[in-house]
Amino acid sequence: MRRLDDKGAVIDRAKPLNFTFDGKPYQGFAGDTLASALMANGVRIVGRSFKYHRPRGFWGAWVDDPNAIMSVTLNGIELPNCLATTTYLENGMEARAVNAWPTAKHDIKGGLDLFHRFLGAGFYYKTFIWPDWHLFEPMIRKMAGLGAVTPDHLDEFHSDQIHDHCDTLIIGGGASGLTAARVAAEAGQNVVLVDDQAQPGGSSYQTGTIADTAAADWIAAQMAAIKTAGGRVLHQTTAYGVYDHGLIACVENGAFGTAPRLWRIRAGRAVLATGAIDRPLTFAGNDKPGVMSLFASAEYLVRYGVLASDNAVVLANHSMAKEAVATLTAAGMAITQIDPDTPGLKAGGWQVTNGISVSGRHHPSDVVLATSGLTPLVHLWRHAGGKLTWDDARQAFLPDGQLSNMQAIGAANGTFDLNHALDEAQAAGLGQSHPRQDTSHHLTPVWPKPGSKGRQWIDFQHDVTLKDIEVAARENYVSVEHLKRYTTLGMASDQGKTSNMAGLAAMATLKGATIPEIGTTTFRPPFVPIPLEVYHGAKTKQLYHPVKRLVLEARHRDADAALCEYGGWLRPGWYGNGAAADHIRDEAMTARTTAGILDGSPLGKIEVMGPDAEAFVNFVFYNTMTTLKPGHIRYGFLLTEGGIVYDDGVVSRIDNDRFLISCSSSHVDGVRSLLENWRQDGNNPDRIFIHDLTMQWATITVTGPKARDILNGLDLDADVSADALPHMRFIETHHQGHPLRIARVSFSGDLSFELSIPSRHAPNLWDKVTAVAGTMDAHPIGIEAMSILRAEKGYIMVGKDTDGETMPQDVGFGIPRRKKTNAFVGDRSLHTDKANVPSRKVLVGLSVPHGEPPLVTGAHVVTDGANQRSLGYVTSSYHSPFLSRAIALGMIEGAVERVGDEVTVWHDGSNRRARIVSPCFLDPNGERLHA
Amino acid sequence: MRDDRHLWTPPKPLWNPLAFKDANLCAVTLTRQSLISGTNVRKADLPLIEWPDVAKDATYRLSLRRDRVAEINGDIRPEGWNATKGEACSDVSDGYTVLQLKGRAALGILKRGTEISLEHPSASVARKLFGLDVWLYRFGVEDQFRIHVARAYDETLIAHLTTAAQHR
Amino acid sequence: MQIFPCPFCGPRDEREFHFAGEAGKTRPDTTGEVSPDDWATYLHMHRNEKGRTREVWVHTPCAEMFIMERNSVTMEVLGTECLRAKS
Repeated sequence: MRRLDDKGAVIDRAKPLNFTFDGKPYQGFAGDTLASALMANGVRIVGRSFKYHRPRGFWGAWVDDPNAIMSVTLNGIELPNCLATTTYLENGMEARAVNAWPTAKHDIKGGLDLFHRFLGAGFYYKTFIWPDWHLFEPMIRKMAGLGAVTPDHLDEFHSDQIHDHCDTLIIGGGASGLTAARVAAEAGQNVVLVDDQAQPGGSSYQTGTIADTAAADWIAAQMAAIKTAGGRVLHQTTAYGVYDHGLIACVENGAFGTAPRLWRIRAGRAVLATGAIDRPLTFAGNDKPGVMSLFASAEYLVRYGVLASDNAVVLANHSMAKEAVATLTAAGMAITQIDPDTPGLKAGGWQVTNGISVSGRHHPSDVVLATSGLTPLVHLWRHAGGKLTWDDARQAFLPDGQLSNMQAIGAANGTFDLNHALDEAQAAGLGQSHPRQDTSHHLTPVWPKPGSKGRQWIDFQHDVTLKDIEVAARENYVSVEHLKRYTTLGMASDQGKTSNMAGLAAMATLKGATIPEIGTTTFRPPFVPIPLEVYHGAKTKQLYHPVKRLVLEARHRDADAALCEYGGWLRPGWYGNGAAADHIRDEAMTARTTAGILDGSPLGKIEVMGPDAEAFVNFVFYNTMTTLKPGHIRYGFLLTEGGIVYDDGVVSRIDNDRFLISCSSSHVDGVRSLLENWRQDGNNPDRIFIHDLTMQWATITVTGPKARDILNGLDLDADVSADALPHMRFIETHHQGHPLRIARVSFSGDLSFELSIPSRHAPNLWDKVTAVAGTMDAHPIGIEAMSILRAEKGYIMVGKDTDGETMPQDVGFGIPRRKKTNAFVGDRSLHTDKANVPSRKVLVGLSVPHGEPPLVTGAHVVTDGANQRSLGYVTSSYHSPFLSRAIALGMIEGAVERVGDEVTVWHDGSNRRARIVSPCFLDPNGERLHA
Repeated sequence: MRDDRHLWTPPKPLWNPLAFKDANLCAVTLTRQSLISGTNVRKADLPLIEWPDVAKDATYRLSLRRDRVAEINGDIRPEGWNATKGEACSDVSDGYTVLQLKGRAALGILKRGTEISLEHPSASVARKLFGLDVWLYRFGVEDQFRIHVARAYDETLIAHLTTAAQHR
Repeated sequence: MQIFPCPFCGPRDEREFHFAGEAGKTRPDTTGEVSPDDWATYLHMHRNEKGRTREVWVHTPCAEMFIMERNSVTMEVLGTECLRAKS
């Protein structure tokens, strides 16, 4: 293996680059891949196979290599499992073979190969079972795996994700793709050409001349013409998946250590010019380093100027090999050709090959260049739903039939004759179809021979041999999808690019079937491995699942609020930097003794307006709303059609044809969707209009015995006395020229006002309210304290005290079910057998003896005696500082009859005793509420 | 509940424009934003902006739905149902933060967040950008874009636009 | 990502849409008698066709509800209809 002085179309000898492999220093040039640079330096063993740790050398020159997998470090960034054949060399790169220690050449686990008889296909079902698989499993798992991920996190490794569109997407920049792109661009189409190499041209460099022009010049001329005509070219960009409606995903690679860019290209049509890859031959010792693809060897020569060897044995079964042999011979390689169909063919040598032995003769050479034909890369055709047909002459699966927005040309289409390929490309550029011509080449099929002697490799990376396929067939894993999973053939990082065909052919022979009868496994994106960053892009950390932010957040932070996520919003759970439990307890006490100030801005504010607003609100709500008068507020439930409580909230009637629905903060989007759906599907949308004003208004809740005093201290131009503003009423007024709505509603069970003001004025109002409150020893409180207060009153939180089966009558609201005559959502479901079952779970309180700690939320109330079963569970449980005792709510079967009973509460193996009581622990007559 | 205050960057109001490469982002203060819904709202004397129209007047209406527009910088209107006009009106001046993205790179930045192009018109300026509901249209000149986003998500949108602007 | 055509806004990314059920379901008149079977059918039974289906979708940015005919196997969009009666 050496670099020639006069070859290498894509390397720049003026730019030498230094790198290391397995600790040893080497030099290459700009334009080299790690593979071509290593080959130029005579490195033959570049990795170890997955299972048996057998030495591996280069098979291919691009994505079709299954062996040269390396961990690469540059400038402090280490990326695992880079394929050396597709990693462009950069100065300072340090590459290490994965799956080998200390080096690929001398791997201490190389001895594993001696145990290959115990490690065949499905070995974990057959060996290492006695005395116990679990004794062997950790060791075997530790030895498995390819590469290691460093624990360092690459903070700046974010993939750009961009949408784009074009009329025509040309996939592949070989001779066919370049031609099609030029023709399409010159015809005025909006064209994008993607090519996965740094220098386009595909395998064209192997062709001496195209259209009487030197290949390199011809390629450059196509590129110039494409750009002049307005076409765009993306280099180092792989189209890896075809999705619905013309969407094609491409990944664009940049400098080492930079995250690739995702292009989501919506193409009017696509032209598949992805080419074809060389196929290995199956014979004894065919996995030895030095056995490589004939066409890859030609590619290393023409692109990178690397001659794989001065002498080679060529095993080829088709006439396309002639050109490659001629190219290599002209560069000085002495070639011996041997018929690959000869029985007993074997690659000799210990760590690396030393030539071919056959029919009693040994043909010494450093490399064996093998090919059993070309396999068109039809993956994207299959993603698009295109069918394949088996072609006997080419012994390959070819694109078959028509797709409305994709056509295949050139080698991807099985068109290996250049003149035919260019004709196809010309037609494709113009969007015309072109019938596939017969190939001028001839090929004698040479497929694996099951039962023949010697260890013969099918999947080089996963170490699947011909014998493994025989085992699979013997054990009846004969379907192609079972064959794959049982043997792991085609499941390595190369996804069977060089192993699938041989595997199918072997199974076909074993079954006495044809290759098309065996079929292919499903082709799935991505075509090449891509990092997960490509999928998530910028959506990490705070952008992974963004929360909604309060307009008062800065005020809360200034007051040392512990900000927690509640229902999609970032809200104060409590205030203070000490122990949470202490702050929460203090806030709950303050709210009951003086007052608490709560930022209630996330509460939904959805207005329903129009001539049919009343009828509509009455239809969507469980409770009767037709009798709600302007200025009044009513608590109500929104049900699903299954009669289940979806959300609770209050409805305020502002005017005859204007209602304000105040739904739970966490359900605003759901409620809005529910309302819009009923508005448009089942009602007249021209007479009902729904405006979601949740963001427009901020709400400050003032709750507690001092609440009215605080409002009076604000100098409002409104009468908030008990007579002027009773419970469940509201008034609209102004404050400093801005609209202010004051609603008297209570979630705490105490005298409570909700002040709503346009968001931009909230900070000002908050400052005033908290200042006045402060003079009365009233303070801001968070959600945690409020959760305790409402539980003391038995007020539910939908989704916490209710579940997917709770109906309104279960939580104490049974009247509309019996009395409401207008149709409403969920009405019929409230009278099914299930709805009438006496053992339905019902909301109750649970009380424990004084001094005992709170019950665990989720603990089950169980029957006593043998065969304990659950009667329900604890839904909310707190220590109430105001009542100096533990309180709890729960949903328990048939509990109405059980009020007063003692029950057993089970949690995690322990039992406690509790008594079923009313869910209202505080002020049952509502004196505090109606103050 | 877990105290997450340190996991979320405290909000910074966008007082000064953010400079990106070939683009900049600033916040815009409008006099008024009003939602107007009704069967005839699309027929009015004010310019009705769709995509990719360029709004050029001081007062204009954004086409949102077949029966809804957002009036920008219009007169103060009484809120609620107007039976004579057959319109429902709500002030949303405080509900939406308005950002303005201008420059050669602006459209490319937006293409990180949504599948959009000037060659694909749409009757509505409402769409999803980086997963967020926005009103997106051109204002003043061809490479200047206004984005109205729910106030509670303005920080998130600014972060997305900033990240997208860094990719070239 | 698929592209769906909102009858008002035009073609948009599928992530702007929300599936709202099979088309053709009519809510029984619950002010009269509705048998348990009829109600259960209304709530739970779906044709769930393989191939050509008629579905109700919502385009969330504009809240438009509409009927979309699709092929649930090939993902082809066959057409859309407004939910409202044609005026």
